[in-house]
Amino acid sequence: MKAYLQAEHLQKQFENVSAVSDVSFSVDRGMIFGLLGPNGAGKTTTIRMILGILLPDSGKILIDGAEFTDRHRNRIGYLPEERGLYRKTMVLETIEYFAVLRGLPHHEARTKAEQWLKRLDLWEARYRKLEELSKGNQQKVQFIISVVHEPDLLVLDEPFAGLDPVNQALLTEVLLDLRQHGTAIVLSTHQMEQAEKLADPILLIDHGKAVLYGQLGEIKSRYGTDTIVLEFDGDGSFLSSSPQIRKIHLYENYAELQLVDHVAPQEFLREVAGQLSIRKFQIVEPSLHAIFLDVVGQQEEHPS
Amino acid sequence: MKAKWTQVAWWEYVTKVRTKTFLFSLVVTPIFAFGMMFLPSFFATRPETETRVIGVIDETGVLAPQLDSLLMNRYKLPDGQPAILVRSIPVVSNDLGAAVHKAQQLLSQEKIVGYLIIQPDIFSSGKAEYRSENIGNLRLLDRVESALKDVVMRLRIVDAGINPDVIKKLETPIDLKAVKVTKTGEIEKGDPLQLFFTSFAFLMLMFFLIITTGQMLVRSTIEEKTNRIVEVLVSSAPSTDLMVGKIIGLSGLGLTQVLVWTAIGLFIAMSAHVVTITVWQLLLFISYFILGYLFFAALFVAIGSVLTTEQEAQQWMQYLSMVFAIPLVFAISGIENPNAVVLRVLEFIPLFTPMIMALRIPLNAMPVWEIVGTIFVLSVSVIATMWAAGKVFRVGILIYGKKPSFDEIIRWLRSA
Repeated sequence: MKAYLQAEHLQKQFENVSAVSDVSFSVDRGMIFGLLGPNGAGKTTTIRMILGILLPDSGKILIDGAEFTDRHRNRIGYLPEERGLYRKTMVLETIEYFAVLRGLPHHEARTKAEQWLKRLDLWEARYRKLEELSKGNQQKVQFIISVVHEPDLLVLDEPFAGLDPVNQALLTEVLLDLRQHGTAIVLSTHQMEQAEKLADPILLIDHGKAVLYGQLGEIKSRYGTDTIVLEFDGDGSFLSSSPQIRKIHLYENYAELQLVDHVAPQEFLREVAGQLSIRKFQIVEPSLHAIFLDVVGQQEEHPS
Repeated sequence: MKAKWTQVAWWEYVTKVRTKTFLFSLVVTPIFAFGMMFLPSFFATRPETETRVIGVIDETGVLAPQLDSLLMNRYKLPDGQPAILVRSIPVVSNDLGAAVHKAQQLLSQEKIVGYLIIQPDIFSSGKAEYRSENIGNLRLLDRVESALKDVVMRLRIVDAGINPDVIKKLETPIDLKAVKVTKTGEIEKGDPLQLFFTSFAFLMLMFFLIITTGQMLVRSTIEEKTNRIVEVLVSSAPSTDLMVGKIIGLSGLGLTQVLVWTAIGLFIAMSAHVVTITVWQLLLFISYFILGYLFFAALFVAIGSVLTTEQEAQQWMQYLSMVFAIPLVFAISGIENPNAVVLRVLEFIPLFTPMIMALRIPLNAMPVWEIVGTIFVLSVSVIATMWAAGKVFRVGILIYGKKPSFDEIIRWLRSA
């Protein structure tokens, strides 16, 4: 199947700073593509190029096999990271306006808007002004605006930020449903837990460069199965200076680590069991979070 | 596919036209403005309803009766009663002090509103005194003064031995009538005061419209920026559609305002007989308004899209208001001399064209080449600013926080 969205060798420079350099990826229908990276990595610039807000200096964006034109605007939905809506207008009419702006006829815009308001538990608020809504509900309204016209390509920038767990679950459910129905979804986030649950494949960018790109499982196995997850009680600070450990992400009662090559996990377990009360000891694939920190950390240490 | 600017225009129009601020400015501003203009003259020319009695202490003994009959005949209330009556207060055995005391008594009993003291030397000195609690009633003072002058003059003339019939002839007043003619000598209706009001009303109308709707344009652009709505908008519709839609929608708002205001204004003004206007003048005015508005709108949108906060916008609006106020400086002298060179030069500068023309339209028939010329210059400027604003809007609208430098804006104009 041909990819719905294809980005080829994107390049964008601001003043003398290279915001995005040589980034390529493709997104199929029915796929949630994770665009990951730390703040300022170039995610938003990449997204703006996908949406035709910015033009790449070189490289190109193909949507459904064709270069971006105005007619594509009606097939795209967008939830920007910086949220904001008209404050004084009512929920329902605002959604309708954006739906019409994306090319829906008026009557259809109304029905679709009403369906989505019901689905996201905002039906009661439909005649209220947006400024009277809570932050989380405003965000849901903005999400509806991005999907109300049933786009083929949905671009979401940090959609989970600011939502409570109940609404996060609701949003996850909606996203999986959209994927089921063949929407191509670009999910940009730095919340690795969410990305790990939803996105496949992923692209990790840092300093405007693609540093990791592929299927989640494949990336994880590339990073080996020698990661040890440790949950414990006691003072684990000595771990960070232990000669047996090659790499560690240490938290209060939790650590994710990799051992120096010749050290066997069992041997390491015996050693730490003497100093900490171990609750959990597990040999796993590294989490996306750990991979993220490793890759981005390396970039920080050796800026190229 | 339907053009998206129509949707944008509709949205801009509908969501703004129903706000309380708009309704307020729609109704209250013109009432206030016209009130300020007409109430003072209304009160000043309001017909009197009450006969006022003034006391006269006449030491000459001959002036009081004549003054009485002159005032009675000359000034009438609408119902035919005399407006001013004279109550003579006799001076008994040359005791002026006693007479003044008596007058003061009448004053405190409110039998008279004031009293006149005429001393014997009035024929030579030409001086008299009026005493009252209220010496602010200029109309009364004026009347008493002119009546007294006439009475004294008559007596002087009679003293000089001239026939009273000759005096009547001498007193025939002159009524200077101003008639407006065109270059070809046709006589037009309207007197100078009416023209002044019409011209000034046109100018003020234009000024208020540009300031208020300009403010709305800048505000609404900034709101979309500070609320970050603009990213979704820019990804939904081409930016030219967004800009054109916004300008058209808000122009509709401006036109709504102009129609309502003209309706109110014409009603008030025509019923007060201060404004005369022909259909042709109104058409010209509206043409200049629309062109001028589009020019300013493009300017305002461009400015709004590079600014980032409401405060900055307010500052800029202040500077711009000052620029727009420049034609007001020329208003008075322009009305006196609508063909002044300075006006004829300013009218070709697009920033001033609409307002200068608003000023000149009611005053005199302009040569066709001036009308065609100014409309041409203004139209070209409209297209040029729209084009430039489109480019600045396209890039500027995504700028947050950092203010662009002047040469950055120039670079956008070149590239984009």
